[in-house]
Amino acid sequence: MAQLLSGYQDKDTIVHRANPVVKLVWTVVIVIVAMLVEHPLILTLVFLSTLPSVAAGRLWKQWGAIMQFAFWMGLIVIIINCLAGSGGSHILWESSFALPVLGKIRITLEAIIYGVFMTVRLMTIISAFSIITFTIKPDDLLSALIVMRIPYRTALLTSLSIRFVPTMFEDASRIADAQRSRGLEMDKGSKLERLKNKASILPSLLSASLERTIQVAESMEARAFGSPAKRTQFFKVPFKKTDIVIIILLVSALAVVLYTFFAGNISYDYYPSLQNIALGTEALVAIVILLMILAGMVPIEYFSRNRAR
Amino acid sequence: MISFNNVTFTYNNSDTPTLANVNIDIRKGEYVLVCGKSGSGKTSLCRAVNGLIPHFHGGVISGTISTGGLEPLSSSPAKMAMHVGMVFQDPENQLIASDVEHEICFAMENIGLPSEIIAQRLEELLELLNIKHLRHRTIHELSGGEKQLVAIASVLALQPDILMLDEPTSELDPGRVDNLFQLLKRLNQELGLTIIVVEHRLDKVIKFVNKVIAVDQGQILFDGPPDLAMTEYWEELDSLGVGLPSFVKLYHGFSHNEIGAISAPLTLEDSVKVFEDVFSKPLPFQPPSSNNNNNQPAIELDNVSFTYESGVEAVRNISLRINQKEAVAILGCNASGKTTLVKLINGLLRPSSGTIKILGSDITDRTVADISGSVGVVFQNPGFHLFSETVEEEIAFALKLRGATEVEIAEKTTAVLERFKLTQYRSRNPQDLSSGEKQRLALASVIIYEPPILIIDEPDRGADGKTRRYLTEALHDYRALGNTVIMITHDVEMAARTAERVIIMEHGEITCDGNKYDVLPDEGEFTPQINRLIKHFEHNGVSSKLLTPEEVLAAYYGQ
Repeated sequence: MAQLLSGYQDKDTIVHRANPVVKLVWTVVIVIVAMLVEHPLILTLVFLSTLPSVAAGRLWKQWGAIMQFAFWMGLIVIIINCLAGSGGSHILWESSFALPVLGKIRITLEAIIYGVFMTVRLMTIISAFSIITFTIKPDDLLSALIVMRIPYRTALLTSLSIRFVPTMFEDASRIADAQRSRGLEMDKGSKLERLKNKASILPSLLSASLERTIQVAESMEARAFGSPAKRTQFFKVPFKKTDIVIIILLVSALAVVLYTFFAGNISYDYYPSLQNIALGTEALVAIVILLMILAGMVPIEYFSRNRAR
Repeated sequence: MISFNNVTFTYNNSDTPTLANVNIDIRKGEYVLVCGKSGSGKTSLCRAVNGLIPHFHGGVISGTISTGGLEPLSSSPAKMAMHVGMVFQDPENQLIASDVEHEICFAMENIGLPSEIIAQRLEELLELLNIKHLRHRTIHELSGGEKQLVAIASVLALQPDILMLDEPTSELDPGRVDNLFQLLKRLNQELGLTIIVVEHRLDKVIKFVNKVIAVDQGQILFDGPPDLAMTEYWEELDSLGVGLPSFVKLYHGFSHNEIGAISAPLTLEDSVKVFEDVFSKPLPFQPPSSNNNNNQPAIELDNVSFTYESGVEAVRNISLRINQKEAVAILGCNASGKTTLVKLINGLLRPSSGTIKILGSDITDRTVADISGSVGVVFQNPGFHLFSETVEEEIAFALKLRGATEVEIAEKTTAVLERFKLTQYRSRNPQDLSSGEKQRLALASVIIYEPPILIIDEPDRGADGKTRRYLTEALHDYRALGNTVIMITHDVEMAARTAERVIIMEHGEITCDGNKYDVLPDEGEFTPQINRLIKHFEHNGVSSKLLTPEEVLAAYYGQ
């Protein structure tokens, strides 16, 4: 598990080698669209458009582990939504009793479907973020964020936290090893007992991480971090022509979608009863453009790289 | 270059000063060793040199400090960084980038050097430290020694006049320790760098430096050249627990009319000259025969191999039998498979092939917690070994899990606290103890539940001489109770003292296994200092089996 979640791993794939700024812009576009749009068909398609990158980056194993987690989170979302959501006209089941605060529990078809697509939304965002976490080296992320005009300290903080993820997983497994070796049972017994025993590493992990943080800060201070001089950006992100073209395409596609969205042409209502999922012409055009570009990143990178060889 | 004038410093959370009335003077181009036991104020001394004290750590400071013409008390650490480079103890916690190139450039970017100069210095540093092949490697995947070179390069990037290293040897193999100090000597001579090395122990460094500063309880106990330290002040230094070199112990063990030399030898070459006379006649030595005639197996490994997910074959086809009541030292370099072997024995890792039996029973279907009843393990980094809120809870942890009664727990805990001299810290947080105290606590937390097999992984790492002596005794006592003791170590001298049987591992295989008197004399890197010396006089009939100064002296004076 720790191996799967340990963040960036160096691989020679077109996704790993692609320009980090391009990948960041790609992610930002996906996240913005996924946050705004509620239309079930579009959410599903945007989610699917992240898959070519997973395949081309040979990330299935790592990505699958994260998605499994996202899926369980989604299940919780669906359940809570069913219990708490009162809207919806197709009642599937209604309790004969009333709970305090919540009242009568009424499970509707609309609430379930809404929950399902909110899970798709969540999985889309997590998928996009996991792809960049797995394929951008923390150092390059730092350079890319700076190119995107993110203040240096914020950018450094982001890259540092990703850099230390594998270290933290190692700490956790070392602490767990020490506790098991003194007799704490983590491999036998009921699920709850095991979970409870595993949770006992958390305080130690926290104090180990805090200690680490202080030492990291001290070493940065001793290397002139915080010097009043204007910082040099020694490592530049190398831009190819195709990179610029992809960024322009991504941003334009986003603009089209945003325009269509704010013109009110991509709305969808789950309540009181599900709307027809058919899209108007304008929305259809905007979405087709967006999807072509999002999913097209992999083939574009592939051809531009092969040509460069 | 550096001068301290009546410097007294107290951390905010402490009542007693960490530095008390310190006066020192370090000249340009000196190669200085700062030694003293853990918690004596060595690290704080360095932090005061570059202004991390008080600017980063806070606290109250008085007196005056001048470093290369600057005053760290009033200059910012960022400004001091241009003059003083500091390499910290744990390489993992001072490397912030994900690859080597970025790490080295971090400091230069901070001070806004032009890109052309950064590019040029980067090349020079990779060349200087001989790490060109590492430039694009992921830092997380480097070995401890490689990380350290990167850390050194990353601070030299600002071209400081002074380079300080805080316990730089704690992650290194014995062979690498010499390499590191030679590298520092080269930087010292070629670049004229003033070098300050902080170490618990002086046995491995003393021959390289030209000044020794010994610190005890925040005060300067000795400040002078190394030969003076080892000839005149050795007793005071020894009482600090800084670990005297074997040659020095031997020198002072002989009576003065037997040795002509007026100062203690610090290197093997000098020792050969100094001891020429005493070893000119035969010195027979009969190694004590083992008094262990127990043939009951404690640990049995049958063709055990283990391969990590990454494809690294850490243990290859090892078959090994350790009997009950044996005292075994397992020696080997980093990544030789020692720690993997320990984890296989206590079930944290499961063999890819082969079987393991503990006290005669197969452990395949037993959980780690279950095996822990038979095998107790003290891990190498006490920081990870210790996880409780207080020292008392830490010690009681294993007993509680074993369903001991309240009364029993209280009684045993009190006894163990007393025995390991930890009573006064019983309600302290283990993480706030000094490293020597942590080491004792880690051992205490395992010994309390009396596992019949005790494995201790690199107890010498970061331990001062006093702690090592203490651990050696504790292990000896524990074995005398009828238990099996296995020690994994880098430290040949400690192995020579503690164990009867020595196993040497290399690339996941056992390359040597036998009685220490048979194994150690032929092991190159793992041969104790004294044995190397003795070998020069083998033709005179001096026994080549002698391993420690104590054995030599006992043989010589016929005890």
